[in-house]
Amino acid sequence: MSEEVAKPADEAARRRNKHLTRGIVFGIAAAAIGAAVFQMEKRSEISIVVQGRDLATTKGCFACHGTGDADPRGNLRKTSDGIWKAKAIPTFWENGIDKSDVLVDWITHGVPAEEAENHKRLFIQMPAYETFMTPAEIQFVSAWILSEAIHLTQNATSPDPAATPTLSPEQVRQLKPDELLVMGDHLSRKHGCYQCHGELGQGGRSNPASFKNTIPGFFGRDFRELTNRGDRADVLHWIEEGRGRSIETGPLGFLAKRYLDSQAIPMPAYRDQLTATEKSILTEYLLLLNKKGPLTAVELEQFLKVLTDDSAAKS
Amino acid sequence: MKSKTLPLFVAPALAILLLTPTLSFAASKSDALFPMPENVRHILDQRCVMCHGEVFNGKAEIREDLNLSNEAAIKETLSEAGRLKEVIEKNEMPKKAKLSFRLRKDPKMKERLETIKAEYDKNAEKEVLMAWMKDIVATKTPDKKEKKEKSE
Repeated sequence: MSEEVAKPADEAARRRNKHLTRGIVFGIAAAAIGAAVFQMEKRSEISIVVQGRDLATTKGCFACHGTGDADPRGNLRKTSDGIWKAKAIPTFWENGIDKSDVLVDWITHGVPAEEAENHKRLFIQMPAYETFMTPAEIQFVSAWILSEAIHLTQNATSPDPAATPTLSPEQVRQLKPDELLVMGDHLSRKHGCYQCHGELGQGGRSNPASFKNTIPGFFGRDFRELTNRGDRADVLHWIEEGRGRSIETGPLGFLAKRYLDSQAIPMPAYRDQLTATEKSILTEYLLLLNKKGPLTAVELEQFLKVLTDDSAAKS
Repeated sequence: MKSKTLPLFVAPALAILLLTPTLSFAASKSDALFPMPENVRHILDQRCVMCHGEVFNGKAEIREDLNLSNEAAIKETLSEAGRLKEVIEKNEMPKKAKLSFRLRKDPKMKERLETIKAEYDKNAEKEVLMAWMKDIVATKTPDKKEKKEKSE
């Protein structure tokens, strides 16, 4: 009799245990998937330019070329009279190379074929990096060199373009891409956007205690996620308030708020620092950069041409 | 013993004797550019020094490591006079010259470079430079197009 009574009780206990075990397994699996997704989401995007910068460091480019004018490097060159004379090793930007294929040629082969004879006179000769880098990596380094070249064109001697004309948001949207590039680039430099978001918004700046430990660039998925897939009003909200509209009101808004409040470098609110036209131009410019994605060496070559030629701005 | 040691001294001595005229000839080729005629110095100052020796905002433009600002600087930095002749002969300089990145957006510099190119043509200054370098043998660097055609 007692056995008959115990049976349903055991059965119920077994069921409870089964449900509990299932629940625990499901919970662990969900937590593991959640943690994996969270970690994936925390991984920051890296643009071509930033990969190029990192490769230039790890592949030893700076050993011979230095990091810039303030970090010179020496070499020797044999004259036609057979005398060795001191010469500097140029920085990446010294000789004004502005063509991506020329840069790729130099890095790949150590010297372009037409320069080979002159190059043989040098005591320290450039190695051919085709042995040490993939063609894609060489493209990345070229992209970074060109993005720095663009940066170098902007200095105290650069003229301040004529004041930005007053334009309605509709008129701004009708600007030609090159016109928008010139105006957007000028405003981004003037107001310090690139200082944090990287040259031409290609990212690569650290930001402790932010969600991804970096300041996002304008080029990729991070930007789209932060702006509700590139929503114009959301981009404008970021510019004006330095905060995300949709990410802070969404289901994980509490988390977004926590990170935005605790990050070391918060985005300033430019509401009162920019005119309506400037805000419109910057909004469209950021959307243009995002549409282009991570900038390649060829695209940066075109950008350099547009940005150093006033014709686009004048037209 | 004598017969063995003598050639040891004779060989280097002969080599020196044979090479000396060649070396002095090579040196005299470069030296033939100096002292520079007044009209050449004027052309270099007006058309070349902007990128090869002029100081802008505290930094000298020494493109391609060539400083043409004075004779001493030229002697120090001109490693191949034949190459200088080649780029002038092929109209690569000053006609294809580009401003360095730090000066590239400066409208005054742009204008100055365009003026240099125009004045160089207008005053037939290439001919003056070629006459100055008449004793120099121009190097022959194949350009990209030639190199491509050869490889095909």
